[in-house]
Amino acid sequence: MARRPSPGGAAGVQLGMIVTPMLDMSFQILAFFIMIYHPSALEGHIPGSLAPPDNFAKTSKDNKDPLPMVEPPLSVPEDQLIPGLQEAIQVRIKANMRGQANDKLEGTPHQVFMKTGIQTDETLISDGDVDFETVLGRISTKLKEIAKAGNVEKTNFKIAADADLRQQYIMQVYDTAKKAQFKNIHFVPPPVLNTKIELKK
Amino acid sequence: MSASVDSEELDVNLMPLLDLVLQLIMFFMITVNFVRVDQFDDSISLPLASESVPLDTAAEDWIFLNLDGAGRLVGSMGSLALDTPEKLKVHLIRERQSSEETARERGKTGEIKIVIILRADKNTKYGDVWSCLSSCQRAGFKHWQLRVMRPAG
Repeated sequence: MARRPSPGGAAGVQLGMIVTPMLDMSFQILAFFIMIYHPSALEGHIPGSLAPPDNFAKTSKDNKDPLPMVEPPLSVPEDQLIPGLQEAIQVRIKANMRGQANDKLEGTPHQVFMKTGIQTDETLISDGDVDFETVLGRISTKLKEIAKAGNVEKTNFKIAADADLRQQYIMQVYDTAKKAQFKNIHFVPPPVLNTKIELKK
Repeated sequence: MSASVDSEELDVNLMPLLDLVLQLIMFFMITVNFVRVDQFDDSISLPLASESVPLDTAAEDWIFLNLDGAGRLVGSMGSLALDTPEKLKVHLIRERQSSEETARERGKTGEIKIVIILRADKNTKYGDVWSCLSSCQRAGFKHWQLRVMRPAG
């Protein structure tokens, strides 16, 4: 604020609050906070557990994968890791490989199989002929049918996929299982080699 | 800014502007979240998962692993040439021991909960994610979180 003569005409200065420097400094602080501001609220997480390898080497029956030697189920508390894992519902996704005789991108889903606890063989859900949203719809329908039958909260659900499959498709299957009220969801290590495309069943 | 009319001096009233700026500063101060660069690496496009849960901070320490679409570690670990699972495992063992020592110096007893935060790009291959997790597992870690994006609204 500028100094100005008092209205009465008497000599002197009016003492007002000088806000301009304060405003300058405030703008600088504001600019600093705007620059470092990061809206992190949109990030979420999926909690998981990496069980000690020894526990699984002793208890897992289908311990056939050469690497890694164990099948550590994730996203569940450790005390729920082992029971019923062999009877779990499993969705297995084979990925499109480089040079494969179709026009799909590498790492996108090709064939999708599903196996419930009482089945011995996998059922082919998709042979790559429909888009992945449709495949998820089919999986969702099957899971909801299973959910109607019984106790899904304790049922284990496994997601198995080729090593080349992109992570976003895994997450879409995870979401589908969660929406069908499955709580114990496990990620199965990918097989080392995935060059074989299975025949339609 | 002033105009001289009949020797009167007109000043802009800056008080409302100052009030507003101070309120904005307060908003940003309350919502600010000082994080390390590797915690929010913008080069990584996380996959979307609507069924994920909000961020959880209940741990003694976190180790962030950022995997880009090509399966390479980026961020603070990107410069360490951890290009094989074995090198990553050795590095993670050292990190775990360091975090445990720090926690014990702070008076923490019992099991020290150190969480691996895996931020994998949506185009990262499942095999690369597993390779990374396998190294974490062999390094003795028990807890991990997979970071994803939650849909807005």
